[in-house]
Amino acid sequence: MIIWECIEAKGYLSAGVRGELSEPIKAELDRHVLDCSDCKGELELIEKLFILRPAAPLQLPLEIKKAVRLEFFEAETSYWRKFLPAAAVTTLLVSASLLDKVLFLPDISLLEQDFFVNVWPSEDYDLAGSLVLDDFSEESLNLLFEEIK
Amino acid sequence: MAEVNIPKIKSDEVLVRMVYSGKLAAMDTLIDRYYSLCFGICMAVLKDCDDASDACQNCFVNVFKNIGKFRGDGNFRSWVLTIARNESFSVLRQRKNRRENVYEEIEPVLRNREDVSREVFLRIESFRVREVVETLPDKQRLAIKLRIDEGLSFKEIGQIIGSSEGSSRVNYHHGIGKLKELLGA
Repeated sequence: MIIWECIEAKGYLSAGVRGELSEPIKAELDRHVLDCSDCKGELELIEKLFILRPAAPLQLPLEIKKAVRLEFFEAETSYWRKFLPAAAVTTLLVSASLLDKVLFLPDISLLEQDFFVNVWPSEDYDLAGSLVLDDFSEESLNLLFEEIK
Repeated sequence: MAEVNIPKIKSDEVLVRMVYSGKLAAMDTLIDRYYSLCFGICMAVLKDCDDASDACQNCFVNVFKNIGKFRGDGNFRSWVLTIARNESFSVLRQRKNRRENVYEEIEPVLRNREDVSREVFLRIESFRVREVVETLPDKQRLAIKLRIDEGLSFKEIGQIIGSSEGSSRVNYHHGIGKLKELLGA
């Protein structure tokens, strides 16, 4: 059995009130307090203080999490925000380049200009890419059919 | 940032590493683990529930804002205590210290006891004792509140009140002695 001095017992009083002591130490503390009026008085005082200790508002953890997330996302957004001018300039340059291509088309063949034109597929280099037009003569079309066969 | 479930058994160091890698759930776990302690410290210093809540919120914002500066080999709890202390004293300096009794406004923590009449008696007495505590010198008052309300070690109390471990122990025992004297206990 451990025989405690008051100074040692007093070190355990607040932990005892908080319910943080192991069973053997709590039993020893109870035994000491029973025989010691000074420690008993101090224990009662600590109990009185502990019973009305302030508790954190219930919504506080949620508010903290919200504030922390807001701070984190703001930080992330502000990190990307510094690249915005560069992104805007790049977009402008690309747009201008595309516009330039559309407005100032180079001299290209009829075939290249008309996206919907039908061309004749062929492994024969001379025939491949021939325009299929309504006004082709029947003879010419037959020649093409022959070529495909 | 990824959302994952964090088991409560993870140590502070593991959680801090998870925060480094961008896991929000690890941040939430650390907040759940320390908000009550942080609020208790802010409340002990500021003596006002709203001010303490604000300071506590700012404390965690600063903790995670500066998480990169936290050295992995250090003690996260101790780091949070230091930031809570700094935040509280900063609010204290900025705002006028309101000295009204705030204990009626906050929700008291009552334990379940078989002896209800003893509980009621203790509660009435508690108001009286809390009032007397407020009359103690700051260091003694803080030492008592941080030790009894939050269960801090004398080393941690010393860190908050700006004194050594031995000195905070002396402040606590002197405070308790003075309380006994004032209450005629």
